[in-house]
Amino acid sequence: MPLSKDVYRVFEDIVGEKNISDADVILDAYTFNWLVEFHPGCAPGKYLQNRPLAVILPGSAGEVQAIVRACNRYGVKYKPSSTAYGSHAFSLQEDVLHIDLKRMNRIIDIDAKNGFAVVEPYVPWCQLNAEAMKVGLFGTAHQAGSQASALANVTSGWGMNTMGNHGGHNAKNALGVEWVLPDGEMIRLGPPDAWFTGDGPGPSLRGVMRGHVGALGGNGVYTKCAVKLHHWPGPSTIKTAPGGVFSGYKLAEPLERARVYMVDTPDYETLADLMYALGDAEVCYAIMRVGGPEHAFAILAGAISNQTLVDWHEAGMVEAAANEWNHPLIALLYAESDREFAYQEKVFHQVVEECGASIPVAVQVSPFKDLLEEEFAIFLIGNDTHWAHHGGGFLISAGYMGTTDSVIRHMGYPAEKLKMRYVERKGILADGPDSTYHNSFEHNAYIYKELEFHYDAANAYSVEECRRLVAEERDTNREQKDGFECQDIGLCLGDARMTIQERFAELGPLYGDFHIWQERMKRAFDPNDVADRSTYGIGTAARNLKV
Amino acid sequence: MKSAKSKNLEGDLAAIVGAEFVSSEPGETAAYGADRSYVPRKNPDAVVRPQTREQVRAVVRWANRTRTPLVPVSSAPPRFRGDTVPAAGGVVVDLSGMNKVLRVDRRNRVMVAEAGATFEDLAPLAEAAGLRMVGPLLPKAGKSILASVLEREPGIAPRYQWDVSDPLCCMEVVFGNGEFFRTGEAAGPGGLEAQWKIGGAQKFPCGPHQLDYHRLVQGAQGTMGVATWASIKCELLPSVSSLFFLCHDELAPLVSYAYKAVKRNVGEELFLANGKALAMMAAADADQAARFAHGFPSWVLVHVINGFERLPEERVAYQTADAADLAQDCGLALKKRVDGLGSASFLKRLRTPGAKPYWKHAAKGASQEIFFVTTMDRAHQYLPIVFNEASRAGYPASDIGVYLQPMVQGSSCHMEFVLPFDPEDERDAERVREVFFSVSRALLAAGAFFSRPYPAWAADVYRARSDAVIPLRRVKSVFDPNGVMNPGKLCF
Amino acid sequence: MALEDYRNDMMRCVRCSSCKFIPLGSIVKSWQFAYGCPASKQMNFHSYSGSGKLIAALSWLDGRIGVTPELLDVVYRCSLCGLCDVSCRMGTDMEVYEILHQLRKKLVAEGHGPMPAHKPVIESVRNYDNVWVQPRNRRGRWAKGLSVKDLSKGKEKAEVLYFVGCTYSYASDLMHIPRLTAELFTRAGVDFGILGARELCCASPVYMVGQQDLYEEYAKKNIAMFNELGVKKVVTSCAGCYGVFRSKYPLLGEDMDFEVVHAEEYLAELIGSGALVPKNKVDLSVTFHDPCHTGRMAEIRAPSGGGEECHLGCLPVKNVEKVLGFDGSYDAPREILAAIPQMKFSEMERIREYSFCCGSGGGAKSAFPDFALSAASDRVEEAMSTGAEALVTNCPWCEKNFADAVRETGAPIRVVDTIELLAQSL
Ligand SMILES: Cc1cc2nc3c(=O)[nH]c(=O)nc-3n(C[C@H](O)[C@H](O)[C@H](O)COP(=O)(O)OP(=O)(O)OC[C@H]3O[C@@H](n4cnc5c(N)ncnc54)[C@H](O)[C@@H]3O)c2cc1C
Ligand code: SF4
Ligand code: SF4
Repeated sequence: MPLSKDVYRVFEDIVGEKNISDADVILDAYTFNWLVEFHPGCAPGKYLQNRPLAVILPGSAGEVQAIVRACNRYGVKYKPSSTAYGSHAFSLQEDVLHIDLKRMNRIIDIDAKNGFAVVEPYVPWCQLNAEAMKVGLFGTAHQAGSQASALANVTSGWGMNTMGNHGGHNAKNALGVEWVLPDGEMIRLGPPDAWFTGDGPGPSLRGVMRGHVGALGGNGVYTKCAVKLHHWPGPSTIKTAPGGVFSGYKLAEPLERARVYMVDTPDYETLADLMYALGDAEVCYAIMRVGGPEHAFAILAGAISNQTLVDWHEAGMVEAAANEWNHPLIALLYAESDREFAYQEKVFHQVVEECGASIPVAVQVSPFKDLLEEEFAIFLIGNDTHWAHHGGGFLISAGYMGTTDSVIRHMGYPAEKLKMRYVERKGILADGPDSTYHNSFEHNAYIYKELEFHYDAANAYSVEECRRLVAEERDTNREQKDGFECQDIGLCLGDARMTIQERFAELGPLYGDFHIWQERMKRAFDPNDVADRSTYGIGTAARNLKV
Repeated sequence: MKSAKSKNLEGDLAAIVGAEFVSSEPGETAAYGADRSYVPRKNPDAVVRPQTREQVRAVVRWANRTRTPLVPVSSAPPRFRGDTVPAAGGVVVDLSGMNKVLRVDRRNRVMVAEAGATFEDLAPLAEAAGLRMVGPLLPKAGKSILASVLEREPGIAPRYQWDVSDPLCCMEVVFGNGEFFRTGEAAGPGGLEAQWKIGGAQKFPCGPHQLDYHRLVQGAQGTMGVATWASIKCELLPSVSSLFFLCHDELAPLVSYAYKAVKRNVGEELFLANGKALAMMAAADADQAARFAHGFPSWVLVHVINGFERLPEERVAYQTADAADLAQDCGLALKKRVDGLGSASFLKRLRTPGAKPYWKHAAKGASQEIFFVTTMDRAHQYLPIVFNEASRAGYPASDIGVYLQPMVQGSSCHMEFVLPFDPEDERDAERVREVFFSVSRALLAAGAFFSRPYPAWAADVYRARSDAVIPLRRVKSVFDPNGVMNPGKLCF
Repeated sequence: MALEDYRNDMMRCVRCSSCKFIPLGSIVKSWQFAYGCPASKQMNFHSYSGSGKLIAALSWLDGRIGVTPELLDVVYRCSLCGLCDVSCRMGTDMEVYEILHQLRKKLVAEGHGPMPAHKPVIESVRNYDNVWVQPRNRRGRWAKGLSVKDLSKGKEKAEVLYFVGCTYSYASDLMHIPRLTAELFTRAGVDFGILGARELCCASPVYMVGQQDLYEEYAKKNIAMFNELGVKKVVTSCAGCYGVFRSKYPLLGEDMDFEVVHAEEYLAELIGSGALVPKNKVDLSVTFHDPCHTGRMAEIRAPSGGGEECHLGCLPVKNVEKVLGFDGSYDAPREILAAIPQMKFSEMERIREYSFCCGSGGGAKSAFPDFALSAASDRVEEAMSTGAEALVTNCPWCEKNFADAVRETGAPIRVVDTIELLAQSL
């Protein structure tokens, strides 16, 4: 049911006429998104079935609170978003008011000494890090790219990030938070007048704010957050010059005391040993993977053009690399002092040698040598990853979070074998079996990995194949029953057979009945049931759950 | 004489844990009815000592049926903070008997311990595996590791603390409603053994899914449920260590150094203390404490630089050189000795958990402590408040031990004031009691953030934080709908 | 080629919002100047971004939305500056600019566009060959008193045609720029001439608002005329003319027997060869604004027309080469400024292919003056942040719009053309 004129006016009075709209052209931009094609009922299109009732743009926490209170008063469901990248940013329910936080875009403060920044929702990492680097700090931008919101990731989204080996998972990088609860009450996590911690007094309500995955907009609105930053040994701005082969830019001057390595391992066991050893040695600022050679080339070529990838294949480059490398790993060494750098280098090479890893010849000569020396830092620092969308999207399966051993055992067979079947059927990009993306956290204390496959969003067959692939992968996983924090429980995607709610309901009993606990919490915090349910717990189905 | 009620209780509980593990003997229950805090005595009706997780759950279920308050306790006495004094009577669940270290996993740098396992229990096992737990500063003997992490006691090496919840990874809880739950990565699928079999090690603390259960059990003073075991993040055991003292009359230059060192990951253990506190930590007895305190500088920063498995000496050497540069930037120097205290002996002291007597009692036999979370650059603001307030009550400011432990990679710090007193001297004890309350009030009024509001502070803290009270009560209603878990604590 | 041909690209938008910001996070240098899209900076609904327009286009094609005032607002409150195209294409093969332009074309073709404020401009071109509703015979007035060859009659010949453009020809406050340029050419002994009253509108403004028929008519007339003149080079001072000559005319498939050069490229060469020697000191600190149309929009973006092949399973590969704006005319003005003794030059944060648009292009200045002004004010602030006393540029549209912003905001900065500074130093 559309908003009545009177209720619309209530919202309009809060934000002003210019900052609310129910025009179709405006609403459709909050209906269309990456991954919508994987919600049953939406494919093959990219539009959700339901448009929001209206989109509203609050300019302050006070306005957010007034909106949420009005939602409670008039029984209007609401869904907030920051940069809104991905289908999780929109509601799957009908009759929902979409709260776009774009006008709340300030960096309130950077506390250089204590190492954090207080930001509003629409501050993307690129803005935050540009300012943070000026004071010797750096934020852990997540893989969605530096144009995505820092606050959304830290408070509400996931949290895997390239610099996590040094900076940790973003679930652990939130300090003080200002939060409009689902019922419209406003609270501060941590002290009422400072941001240096978000825990207490007493039990930490950060535990309600988010878990391994954030509440994805199902738990009120976070209006400010102190994001913990990490020390940055680099310059205050990155000086780039045109000319890089891959990104089009290269470093105008090399980064001092920094080096990117790509090392190869013959098998997954060695890869695991290497990761553990590097973690123990604590010599890497970042440890990550972008899959095997075919996938790595696909990602790199994506930064240039799709044609480039075809050219590289035709020139035999990809095949040559695939013959030489097996399971490569990328490591960034970055030191504050020359002494530290010398130590890092020495230990790094010692570890590589002892573990039976090696530095492939291909990356010791141009253009990959130049890439590592002159350009890779631009990728890492800028964290510009939208080139991973060769055909308008990639999807993941077999996403896991846990110890290196438990996660690595999900690499390889059977997930890769399954993927290759779909490659043969030409439903997804042929980028080799190992398209595993991985990040290490806290010196490899735990890791995240996902198997990526790239599809063409404009190709209905390709989209359909992905839906089938995810379903099949879930079946395999279901039989194995041995995942750890299987990423499905974070990824808000359906597959060819079931909605994500059904999937959560299936996973709940395997993971301590989390769906029931969440529903209990939901009922306690959202008495009028107006905060969006579609990405929280098992969604609307939970209304019938006996808790 | 046991009351009829006690007898019933005992019978019920004996049916769960066996008669030898239950007691309602006044002699025994009295040991739990008071501690060294100012919380009024209230003896529990019984003490139960479950030996298994199933027994714990059965006790909680029984408590729900009978609406009996339960107070979980894991550490050995003495207890200081009033959080385990049963405000509403009921049954103390003493978990000290469940003290097994279930696993030490070198590869994943983690160990799993039952609730009653102490730092002393763990240390040799971890060491044998080449690991150590970076625990709090000089924990008292008999302190449960699980209790320490649940209380969010800050670890001594701030750079290892990515989050205030560290080094806690996962745990098993019997929530107040009697349901088992495993937090974080441990949630499932399968139990501990099954997870170990496939390379799991219960390390990732968050979740499952959209709630962080561990954060809601931490800091809860037993009001949400009973944790039966926890997995704790460990770090490599140092093979070479070098401890330095940096000394100054002012706090500021030491704070500057601490920021730089923590942020740049130079060294591991790091804290700042005034001469008095350092003397208490270092001394074997009251005389030595007095002697040390006399000669020690106003402020000392203790910093330990370690080498581990790879090129340990080289690591210590380069880090020491870097540290020396940082020190010089701040107008400081790295010293191996501070008036009579050598770095090697102090390092040994720091690395020995559970040394007796408890260091805070070294000076006078007892102490009260006031602590909160702030930032290092704010810390100096609190000094005059405490010193003036103490002096006004006739307590010599020079007796107060002060220390700062940077937390969460330097983004905040634990600030603590230790007020030693002679427990035999009633006047002294009474004066400290007065000082404790007046200083606490003054600090609260000055905005000090008491993130762990033990009973002496809880009412004042929550009075000022009505915004937090309602959501906390909602959480409580989810995990402990019948309010059986440690009622009367926090804002519950 | 039609909007429909780009349906695949619209479907491939992942809504990442990269098109709102300058490309690559590592290039962003501050919170304040991170945005690249002036429309997204001013208007907060996602629909105003490049991505939002792609979604709007798809929705319209699919019949999900009709043509409403809100749709027209979304489409035309945009300077068609192409930044979104550059930022998106840093990671994709999508043709965002082309879609934005096709969307306008389709709206016009179906009678919904352009905006009412654009109609007089279109009529003016149709009726007077210029965008300023001015009589044809006054077009050459700017050159009054200068002795330059008039190539329009076919009697005089020259190597170089100096094409001035509507705005420099008619705007009395800007006329000194072509005069100075012509004087400098004369001084350097360049063999050049002008078209005077026979000069026609380059048709960039009508192209931009989507009036394709008129654009093609004028573009073809111009190409034919330039060919007919037998000139080697067509030199222009106006960024709009330069951009359309260089990047759009070649797409019409007509033979073009001449090279397109910006006056500043020519002058920079003359300085390089020693034909002009800036001697006088100009004690001024300046910064330079790269106009879109001498920069990223001067680069030929061959549209694919949706043509693509599938490789490596399902990898869509386009039949055109991808460009990223690197081939704009960025160095010439900088070389000129560097040659002026004592001038202090500092760069803004958003430069070259990721320059921030002044906001006046694409018909935005006439239809949405508030939008144009907000973009210009943002840019003026950026110029001020460098400490410059003068904001230098080489496009009449940018100059006018910046001047308005400076007037409106009272910002203590001058807006000057590169040519003025060069002339001062000679
Ligand atoms: C290509 C791609 C790669 C990705 N890779 C990673 C990765 O490596 N690591 C990772 O952690 N994540 C990743 N993500 C997911 C990403 O974290 C989220 O997209 C993210 O949380 C932040 O950016 P966003 O623009 O999506 O935020 P949004 O979509 O705006 O927000 C994310 C969620 O939080 C909710 N939300 C946003 N703001 C608020 C607020 N202020 N209050 C309450 N709720 C709010 C929204 O409803 C939404 O559900 C990826 C996404 C994409 C598209
Ligand atoms: S148009 Fe390109 S840059 Fe913009 S959101 Fe879509 S994919 Fe991203
Ligand atoms: S063309 Fe320019 S103003 Fe228009 S949407 Fe793209 S970046 Fe924004």
